[in-house]
Amino acid sequence: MTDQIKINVNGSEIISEPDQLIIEACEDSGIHIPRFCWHKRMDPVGMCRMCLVEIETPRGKALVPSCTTKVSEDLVVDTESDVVKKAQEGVLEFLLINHPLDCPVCDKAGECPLQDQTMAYGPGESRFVEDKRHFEKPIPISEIILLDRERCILCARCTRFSDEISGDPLIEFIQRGNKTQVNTFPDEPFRSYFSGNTVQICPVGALTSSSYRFKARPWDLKKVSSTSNCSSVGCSVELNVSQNKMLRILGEDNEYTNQGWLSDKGRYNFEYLHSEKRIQSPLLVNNPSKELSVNESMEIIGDQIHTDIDTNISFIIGHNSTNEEYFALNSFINSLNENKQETSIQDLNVYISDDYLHEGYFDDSYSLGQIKDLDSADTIILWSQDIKDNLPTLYLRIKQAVKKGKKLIIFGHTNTAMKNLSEEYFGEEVVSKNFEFNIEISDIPNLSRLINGKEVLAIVGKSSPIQNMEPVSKLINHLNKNSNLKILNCFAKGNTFGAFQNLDLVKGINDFVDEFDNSRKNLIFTIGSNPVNNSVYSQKIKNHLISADYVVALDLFKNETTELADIILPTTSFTEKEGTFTNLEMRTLMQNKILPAPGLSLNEWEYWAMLLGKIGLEQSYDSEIQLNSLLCEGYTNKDNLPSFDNLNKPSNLDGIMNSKPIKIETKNNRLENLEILFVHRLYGDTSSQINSPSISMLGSERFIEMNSATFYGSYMLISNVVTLSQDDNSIQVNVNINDSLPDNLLVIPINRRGFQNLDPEKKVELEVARSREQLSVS
Amino acid sequence: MKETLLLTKHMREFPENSHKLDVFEKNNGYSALKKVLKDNDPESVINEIKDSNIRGRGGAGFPTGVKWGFLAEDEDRYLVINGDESEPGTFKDRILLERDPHQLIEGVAITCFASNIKKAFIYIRGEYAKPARRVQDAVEQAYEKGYLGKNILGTNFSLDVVVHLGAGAYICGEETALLNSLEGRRGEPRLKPPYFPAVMGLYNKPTLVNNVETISSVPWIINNSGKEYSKLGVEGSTGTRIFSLSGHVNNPGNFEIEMGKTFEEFIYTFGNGIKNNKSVKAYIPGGASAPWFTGDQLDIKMTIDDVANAGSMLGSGAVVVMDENTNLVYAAKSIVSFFAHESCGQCTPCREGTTWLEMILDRIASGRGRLSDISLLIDICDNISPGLAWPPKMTTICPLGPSAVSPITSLLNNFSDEITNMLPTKIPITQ
Amino acid sequence: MSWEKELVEKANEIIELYPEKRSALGPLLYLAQEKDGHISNDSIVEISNLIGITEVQVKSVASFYSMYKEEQTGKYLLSVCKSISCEINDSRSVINSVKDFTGLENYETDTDKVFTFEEVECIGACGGAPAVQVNYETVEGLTPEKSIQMCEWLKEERPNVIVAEELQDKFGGIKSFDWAIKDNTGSSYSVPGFQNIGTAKEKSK
Ligand SMILES: Cc1cc2nc3c(=O)[nH]c(=O)nc-3n(C[C@H](O)[C@H](O)[C@H](O)COP(=O)(O)O)c2cc1C
Ligand code: SF4
Ligand code: FES
Repeated sequence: MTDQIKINVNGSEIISEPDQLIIEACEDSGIHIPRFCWHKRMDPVGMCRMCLVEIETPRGKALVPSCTTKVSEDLVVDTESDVVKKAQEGVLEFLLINHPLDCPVCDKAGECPLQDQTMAYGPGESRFVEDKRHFEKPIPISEIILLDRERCILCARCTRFSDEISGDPLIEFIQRGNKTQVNTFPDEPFRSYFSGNTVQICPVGALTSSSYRFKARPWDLKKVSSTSNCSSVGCSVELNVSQNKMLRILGEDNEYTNQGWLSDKGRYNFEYLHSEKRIQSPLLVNNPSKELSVNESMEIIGDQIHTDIDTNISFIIGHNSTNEEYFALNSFINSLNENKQETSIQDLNVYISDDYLHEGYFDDSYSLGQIKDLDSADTIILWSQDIKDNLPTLYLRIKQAVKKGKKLIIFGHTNTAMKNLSEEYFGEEVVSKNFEFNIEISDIPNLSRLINGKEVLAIVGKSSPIQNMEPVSKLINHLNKNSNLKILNCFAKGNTFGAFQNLDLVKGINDFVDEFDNSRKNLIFTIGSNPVNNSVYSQKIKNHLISADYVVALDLFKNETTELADIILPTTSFTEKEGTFTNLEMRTLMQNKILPAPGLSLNEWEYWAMLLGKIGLEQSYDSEIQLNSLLCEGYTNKDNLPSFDNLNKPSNLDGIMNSKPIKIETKNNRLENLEILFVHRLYGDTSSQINSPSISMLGSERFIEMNSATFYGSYMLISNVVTLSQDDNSIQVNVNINDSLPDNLLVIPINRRGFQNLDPEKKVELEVARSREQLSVS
Repeated sequence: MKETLLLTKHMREFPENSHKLDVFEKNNGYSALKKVLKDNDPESVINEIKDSNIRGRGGAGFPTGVKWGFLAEDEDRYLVINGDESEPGTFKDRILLERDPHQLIEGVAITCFASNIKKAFIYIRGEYAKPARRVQDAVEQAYEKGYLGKNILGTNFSLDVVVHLGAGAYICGEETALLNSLEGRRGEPRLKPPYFPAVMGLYNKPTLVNNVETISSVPWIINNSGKEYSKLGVEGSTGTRIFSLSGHVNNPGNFEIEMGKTFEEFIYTFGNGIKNNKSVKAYIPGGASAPWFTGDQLDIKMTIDDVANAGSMLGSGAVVVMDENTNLVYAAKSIVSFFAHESCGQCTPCREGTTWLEMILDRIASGRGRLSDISLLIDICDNISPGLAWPPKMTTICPLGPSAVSPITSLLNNFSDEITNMLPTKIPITQ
Repeated sequence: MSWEKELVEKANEIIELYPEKRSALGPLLYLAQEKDGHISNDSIVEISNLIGITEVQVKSVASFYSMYKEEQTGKYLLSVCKSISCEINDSRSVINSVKDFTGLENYETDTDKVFTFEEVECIGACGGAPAVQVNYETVEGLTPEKSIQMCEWLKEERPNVIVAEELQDKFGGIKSFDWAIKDNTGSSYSVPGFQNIGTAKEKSK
């Protein structure tokens, strides 16, 4: 710990960290200094001048912005003097002269610092008799964000966020002086994965989101802290509900993870919770689709488990279950395993529906890293799928680390969106299109300079579903030998790590495809997963599901996978159940329940418990809290157990680090001469997204990427609208040029409809499209 | 009273072609550069400048030698010449650029040699197209003759000079705004701390920012020694200054004199008196930012400290004379709207306050004033510049906002009846 | 691509002058201004590609500076100074006569695209107040009458290059200082004539 220093504020001594700003030091000691432009997570600009305080200097008292002035030993600060008060009132009056008096219709009213400070410090009556500045009332600046320039107080929080933090400066100050306004460029909307953060940090109601506009008043909201399952970062969020409807998700500032930021997907992907399309009761899919009681459904499935034919049971899990649910599933499987005689069950396997599964680097020869190691490492290594699309808030952390001088090295041709952040981008000269090394690791230029003897954090995973992990292991072992290496195993989806921690063994979806044994009776459970959409193995999975004897789907919505099931069981989302979530650092965080489960929906664990009952076996729990204590028993380190109790302690809101051994088994897949790189983009057409109207269109455009040489040379294209075909399938797509890609490589987003029928092992043809009709325009 | 010609000597002697390299060379041009390159002792150059006690001619009057001493060590350091001259009343840098560009270039080369700088920028306001053309021609000639570029005059000292045009923004005269502008950004002043140019300047590298006149003085100082220079003028305001005289005088223009004379002498000697033999009602001693003096205060001495002690500043050396018939409300309004128009808009008090002041003055000037406007004007000024003291305290990042306060306090302090006469009912104001 | 090859080459030469590309933004905006008489959105796209920043960042900078025009200017940009020294020397009358003659209000351009009129802040010609710039070439010591004559002459003659001395000789009066040095260069269109951005023009004799 660095030496703390003493400063004097308003006559009392307070302790501060050295290097802190006055405003922060005061805040930590409970002294609030009003501010508009300053935001803890951004560089101070000292523009609004609201935070002026007086300090003593050798030349007498001076008025300085507390958001740009650092503390020093024995600094004397006055935050309440007459001069300070006068200055603050003055600034407030200046801000109000051009601010409309539309609080009654403003979304921000009730949680608006300008409104609050006007109440606290503001002038009573306006001395401004001239005309206020006028602008066209809210203008849409993207599909999801609206801008009301009259309300804007020009604090530059939004512009700084998009430039400094998210790195897509699409919103800026235009004009100067009194004419200054925030705006976008006419044909360049504020299309950023992170745009929603600007709405959250806008201190007034200038930026609003289409999903929340006019929906509620802050004082009507019920609020609870929780954890987003948008990615395995496990972003801390606050859920805002009114009358049992989710209205808004806000980022919470968790120092270790998202630091307050969210991706727009994490923020706006919630309207589906209230979609009419949610399944309300168990359903028999065919014959014709028939609603059942829970009990009936359990009878039917129980009979399928308890037969006298040799049966293989496969569980295809997703990533939205809680740790408690994965734990319950594991106990269910263990009970069946122990009672194989009675049930004729032969094989029980759990496959996770994630194309990017690999075995990871979990054993004792490696040390595992945390996200905060990004800030202390010298060098950051990235060999993984696209981080910006799949772990968006981790991308922000990496960007921040690079800004602080950490060196980023990217291997392979994914993560092109981060190329300009990287010190070294080892593309085709080093890593081939198949993700094999083209040269010896020791010959890679500049690598040794950046790693030898250095603190290195490597974020490693599969860059492509169809890739050999051997080169990655070679790299990791090289790094492990030559540097002080820490590893963040990259599995991007939701509570994947919770599944690993709570299931004895997890395999990959590719293993399901390979191991499926048609000679047995097959009973398949799909659990909150839709592998028939979203996977490069879709075709094969589909065939297996068709040929399986009985398929049980647990889900919120009907989808491509449930269509092939025999019975569907309605389940709950992360807002409708109590549970824990484990992020990619193995930090366990709390997911709190704030909404009732719709209709006859039940939590997954309840189904497992009932099914055990139906086949005459005992279950040892009947609540989430019991499951939580049972799963806590599995931790060897007993000091810091991620129990509900512990996690709900104020000191643990940032989560609890504790880990269990992890076992993953998956076969390496690899194709020669890969010309297609399948990727997951942030927006796709998952059931949740297409049932969230505010963002549904963001995943609807179909596009592929290639570099311009490939566009003009190999394919000789003359238009960006092309038909992509393979065998009998064809689909119209837009081509985006990305010159960071190697020649002759097509990048295809596998999580958008229309691409699932492609066979990764076969070539695709491209042709300039004849009609634009089928093209969905967003 | 006579002019003392150091910087403007050459252009006076060769009015037809003082900008030409051959004429400059024939008159001792580049001899100072040759001298410092021959001596090869950068430290001694800095010492000469320190000895001269010259203070910056851009407005702030910071001792130049001290500034050079602050320049932090770094592989890349820059010199930026501030030729943004936009302070109303000021047109002294214009002649230096237009008529003696080689004198500036020689100063640039010496400065860079002294501070081990390899790249310099001459930032000239966009409206000075013609002066910029002359400087650019001169830079090209200097490159041809080996005064700039690689291995200057056969030594291992190399220097690149780029002439850069501004684009219409007074605030870019403020040194950190200028650096932002030169980086291709909005000309918004940076926060000091941490952005002190000598430590974190252009591209965040240590950077010297100096005014055109300051650097144009360097060759003379080197040729004649800092000591000689310091003998000119008075203590604290050594050397000569080019004062720009304008307003209601018979003979406006730029005059180079030693500091220390009174304004009266200056205005009557060089300005040849007031037009139509009128008397002086008020005058601005140092550019539009400076508080005004009245016609009764003509005996103030033209030194940085005397003017400061009398409650104003010598600033950019622009003297604007307003005769007895001048409508000072209009004059104040003109200056306030200048600052409102030129505010970069970052700081709330400056962005909103200057425009508000302008609106109120507009209202008063058009006969729609209110009695309460005077106290309102004062209070707004107070919120931009607390206490209305001099030198001004600020609630803003840079001094532009408080500059808009000067004409209003000047008006209200000494000429309050001019404004009350314009209000619907005349009653004396009490402050 | 809205910029011809030569213009792009010119732009790249300018970019080369600076340690960082973005510094060339100002000069490149002048190229755009000379091309179209204003900063068109097409040029903004072009520039944003050339220096690697977003369009709105270019726009943000362009709109900060008053010499980059949002709307197309006429062949002659008449900038009449209204700052203090000119103000007290009755620049108002010069402004009014120019307004009357051209029929234009502040920042307006006539339909024939001959004149754009603007009132501007100090142009550094205070000794020659009231002063005017035509395409950034300074004319000092104007009177209302002379300013009208100047506009008439411009309208009649339609000179392609504006040379300050020529206008000063014909229409100017008192000057900030002796203008002894004659030269033949000036600017055409609403851009300062300056070699580095390729807008300085020589008047053919
Ligand atoms: C609002 C404002 C405008 C300024 N304008 C100019 C200017 O046009 N020219 C100039 O040389 N300095 C100007 N300055 C002063 C510069 O910030 C800086 O002090 C000067 O360039 C330093 O050079 P010097 O030390 O040689 O005077 C201005 C300062 C402020 C606050
Ligand atoms: S005082 Fe005015 S000009 Fe200076 S930084 Fe603030 S807003 Fe900009
Ligand atoms: S919060 Fe400090 S100036 Fe805005």
